Amino acid sequence: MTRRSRTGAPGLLQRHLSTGVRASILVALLVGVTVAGVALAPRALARLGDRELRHALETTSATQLDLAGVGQPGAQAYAQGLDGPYAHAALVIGNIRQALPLPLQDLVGDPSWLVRTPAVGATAPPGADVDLHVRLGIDLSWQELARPVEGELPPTYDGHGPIGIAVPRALADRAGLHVGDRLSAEPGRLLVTAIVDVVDPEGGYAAHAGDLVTPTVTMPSSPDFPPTVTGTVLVEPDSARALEELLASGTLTGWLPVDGSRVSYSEADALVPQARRLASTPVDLPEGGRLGLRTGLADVVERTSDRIDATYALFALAFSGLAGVLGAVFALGVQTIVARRRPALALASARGAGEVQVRGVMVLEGVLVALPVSAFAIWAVASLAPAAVGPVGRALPWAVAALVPALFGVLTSTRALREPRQDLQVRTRSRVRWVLEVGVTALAALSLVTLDRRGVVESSRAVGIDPLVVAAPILLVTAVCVAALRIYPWPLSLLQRSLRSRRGAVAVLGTARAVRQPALGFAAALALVVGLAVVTFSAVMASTVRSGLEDSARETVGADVRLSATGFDERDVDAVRRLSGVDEVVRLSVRSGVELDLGRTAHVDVVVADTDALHAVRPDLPSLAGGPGLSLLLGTDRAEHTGDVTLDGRPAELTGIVARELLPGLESRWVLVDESALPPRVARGDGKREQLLVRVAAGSDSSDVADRAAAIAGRDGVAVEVADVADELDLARSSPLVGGLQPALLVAALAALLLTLVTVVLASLAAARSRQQLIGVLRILGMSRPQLRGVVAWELGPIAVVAVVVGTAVGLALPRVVTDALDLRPFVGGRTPPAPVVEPALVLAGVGAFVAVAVLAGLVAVAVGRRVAPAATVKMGER
Amino acid sequence: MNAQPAQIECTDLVRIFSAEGVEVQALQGLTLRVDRGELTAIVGASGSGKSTLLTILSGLDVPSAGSARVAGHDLLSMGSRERTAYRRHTVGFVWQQTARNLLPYLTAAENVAMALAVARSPRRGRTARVDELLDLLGVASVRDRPPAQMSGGQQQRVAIAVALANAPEVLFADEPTGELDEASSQGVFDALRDVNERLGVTVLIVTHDQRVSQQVRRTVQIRDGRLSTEVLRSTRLDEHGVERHHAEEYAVLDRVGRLQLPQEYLTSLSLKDLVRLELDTDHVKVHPTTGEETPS
Repeated sequence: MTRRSRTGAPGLLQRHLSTGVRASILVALLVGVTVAGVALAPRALARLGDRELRHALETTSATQLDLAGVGQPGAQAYAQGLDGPYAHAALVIGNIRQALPLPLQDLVGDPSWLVRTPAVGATAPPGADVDLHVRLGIDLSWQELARPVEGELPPTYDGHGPIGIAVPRALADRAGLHVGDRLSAEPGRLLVTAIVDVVDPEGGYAAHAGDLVTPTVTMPSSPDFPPTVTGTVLVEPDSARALEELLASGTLTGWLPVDGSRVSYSEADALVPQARRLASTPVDLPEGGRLGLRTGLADVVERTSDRIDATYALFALAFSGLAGVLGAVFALGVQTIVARRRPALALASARGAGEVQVRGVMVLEGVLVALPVSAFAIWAVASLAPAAVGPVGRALPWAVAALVPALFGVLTSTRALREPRQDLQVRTRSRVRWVLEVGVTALAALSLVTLDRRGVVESSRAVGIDPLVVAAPILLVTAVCVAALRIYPWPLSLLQRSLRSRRGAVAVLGTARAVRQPALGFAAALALVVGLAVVTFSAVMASTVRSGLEDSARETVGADVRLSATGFDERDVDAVRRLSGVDEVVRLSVRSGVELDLGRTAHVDVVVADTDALHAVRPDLPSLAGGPGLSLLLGTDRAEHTGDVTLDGRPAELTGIVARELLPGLESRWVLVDESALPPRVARGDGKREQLLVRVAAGSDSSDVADRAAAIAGRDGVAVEVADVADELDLARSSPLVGGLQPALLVAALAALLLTLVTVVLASLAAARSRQQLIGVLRILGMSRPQLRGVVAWELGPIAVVAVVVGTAVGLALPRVVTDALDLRPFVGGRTPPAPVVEPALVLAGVGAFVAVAVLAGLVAVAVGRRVAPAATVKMGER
Repeated sequence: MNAQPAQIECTDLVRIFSAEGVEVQALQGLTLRVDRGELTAIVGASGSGKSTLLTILSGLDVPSAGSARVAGHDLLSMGSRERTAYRRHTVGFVWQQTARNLLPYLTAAENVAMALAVARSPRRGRTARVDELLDLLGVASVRDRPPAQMSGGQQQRVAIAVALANAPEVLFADEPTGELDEASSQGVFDALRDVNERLGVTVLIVTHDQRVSQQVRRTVQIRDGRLSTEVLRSTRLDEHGVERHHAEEYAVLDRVGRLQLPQEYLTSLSLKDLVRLELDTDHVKVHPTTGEETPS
């Protein structure tokens, strides 16, 4: 069969490039998958950031989050030229949202506001044993707000007759009010015309004008007096004319709800200053009125951004290692194609093709292999997962795609055409490689020194995805790997020499091959070392994060379980102590505002406890019992003078200063005192707050113990607040970031294993030809099958051993570098920056999986390579 | 000695290959001179360094020591640009294996065109040049066939066409007939001789093939990385006016006076270790030594 010959360069090129495309398709697939992954990663991160920020805002109470404030309504309710009460104020408040900058404006809903008089005493109806105080409230949207369940909304009060009021149902129930009740109060007589349900679907009234929804009840200090009940009642808005004076002395409460479900993490940087600026500029209302809006939005966003950035940095670290493996795998894949082209390139080069021509053809092939598939992958990802990604996120996949033609160019050189795989060999006298290796090592040292000098960065916001932090691990791994590969032929040569005297040929042959003609070159070895380092690193980081979260949860709770209430008696304490699953219980009583003199007088909370029991529950806190005088432990978060110490006028001895957060639930500075050191009268604190700290027995469920303990302590209807480690952990894990980190580390580890598989298969396939030739010769020499298997095992064995040793070591060391450089507290919470926690079982499982995958890959590659008959390979001759 | 500068001139060429702990000295001070337009055969046992010499001469390898010049190019000091130009325009090669000569997925014409494209020869006239070369080598009939559809002899003649594409001054052929039967061998050799005579290209053939070496005027033998002997053949008319082939074997004496005696001389006279030399008026005699003569 003949075909038309082409003599033009384009035709010849086309003929050349369309030959042997199978390997090219494989590499193209690898590139496509990788580019898709790289394109997807910033999108997944952006989405994760969005979800975390939304989660944070949604779990923050409206009280904290909404733009809300209490101000003065101004002297007059009516303005000239405008109809209705507070019409001018309504206009001004109505415009607040429009005046907000974007993106803040998008998160904020329409304003709600109401004007209320100060609380005035009112006579409660007979039979209701309460001291009643009411605030008259005017809300222009009262008809939507108040839905009468009994009676009718009141008419306008014009200064004559009783003031008609609509009473919210909760207040009516608590104060025993009914429609038609008449109350005498300061501004005049009040007539209950309606009992209403407050329609508050978004909870804004409950959060910002709480006593309209639920009255405030204050228990009296003496049982002789009734409880004080304060609530807001609504009057018809036009009553403002008659009540103008009283209202002017009252308050205007306004808020704009914040809807966190629409926030995007990319807006976080803009939101923080906008929210801060808003808080510092109050809104001027007519007639001297004023409304200062505050919001915790900035704090929440900032705190969450820190968490997100810390996580991003962690992801970047985990995946930067993968980038190393990937680079090596790409190099191997490209090397396979180059190897296929070698005869043609060698011929062209011998006929006078210059460096530029040879490299140019290969770069062109690289472009054809990588760019179409990359463009498709990027397009597919962008249309399947639309998300706002920054310029780096957009450029990164293209950079990865461009890496492939570059590798084609770099790995092809006319010099490399004569000696196969010269540039990837473990041992080479290539000057370029020496320069590169020294460069990498120097860079690794530089980055470590810089990291060390910089120390732990408190806020990861300052770190972001810092190139230095991200590059340090991969530089370190590469440098260690370079060193290991330079050193490893020496022990191998020693081994070889010592094996020479033995009878078996397999080991001698194996070591000789490993030293002189290694089957796996530098790229494969680097991929293996980095792959295992990534696996180990992921395992250690997973256990570090888990243990950090547990520590942080325990710190937040203060023990395994914490119960808080106004008081616990001895019976409760004993009953809780007897519960199954409880190891130890201690009661903390708090007395506030006690004078502590440390050379300077201050008021502190005194925490009284059986400190022996406390030490048993919390081994980090010392026992103070048994001393001759009054021993104190001071919990504070500022620098303290320490001179002569007196507590409540009694001389005392300060045994130590600890962080304030060590005992949770205390607002101010505190001192811990053993109950035996105080007279029984004061030993129970002030009876307002007590805590039970419980240590749960190993293997018991803290939530279960908490429920049972709370049932005991709360049996008389006492309100008991419960916190336990398991619940706290669940809460922490409900965060998308925390929930996403463990799978991400797992994905990194699995991807590393997968790439290891690909590496070993590619490298072994590349060595198939020389292996088959050798096996052909050895078979003819009479080697048995087991012996031949041994020879093949020696190909992978030494490098695998190096990878296991070096990779595990680096993987264990990296988390230390990471936690030294990056503060994970924003992520895991807690007081002390988490230190790496190594779980031997997890690490061993990772290493085991790695070895299994490597062996499996080796077997697969050898099996595939075996398709060539030995006789044929021997016939191939020397070339 | 010839006053014209030599086309190929190697002096004391040394090439050492070293791997981990193993060192092989492939050329050990080889000296060779070939004049313009000569057709020379290099013979030698396997491993004697023939192919190494050819690789060096074709600019694909660099000697460890010595000097080598081909058509005015100093092969040791050539930069990469000059090396590329050298491969494009000064030399052409034919190797033993077809795979090294021709790309399997290109037709004969395309293979020739590739050599032209590599040398960036003008596109116009490229097809004409391809056809001219294939005609010259007698393989115009396989113009549009890939190598797999040609006979071995055709493949080698196409390979010669490829090597000649850019009109080189020197043609190197490494065992060009090694894989061919007698008839094809002769065809290929005839083609090479034809090229040498008609185009004036200097041809250097490395070969095992006695039939080939017996047909060239000058055969050089390499032993242990050095030139050992040279055979010069000539055709003379004898006293009856009949053409006689005449071959004379010469040993090569290097600059310091070293000389390799042919193997059969050594064995037939049991020449070993020490020999006794005797200078006569116009020649040197070499005598074997007996045990008694050997100094202790």
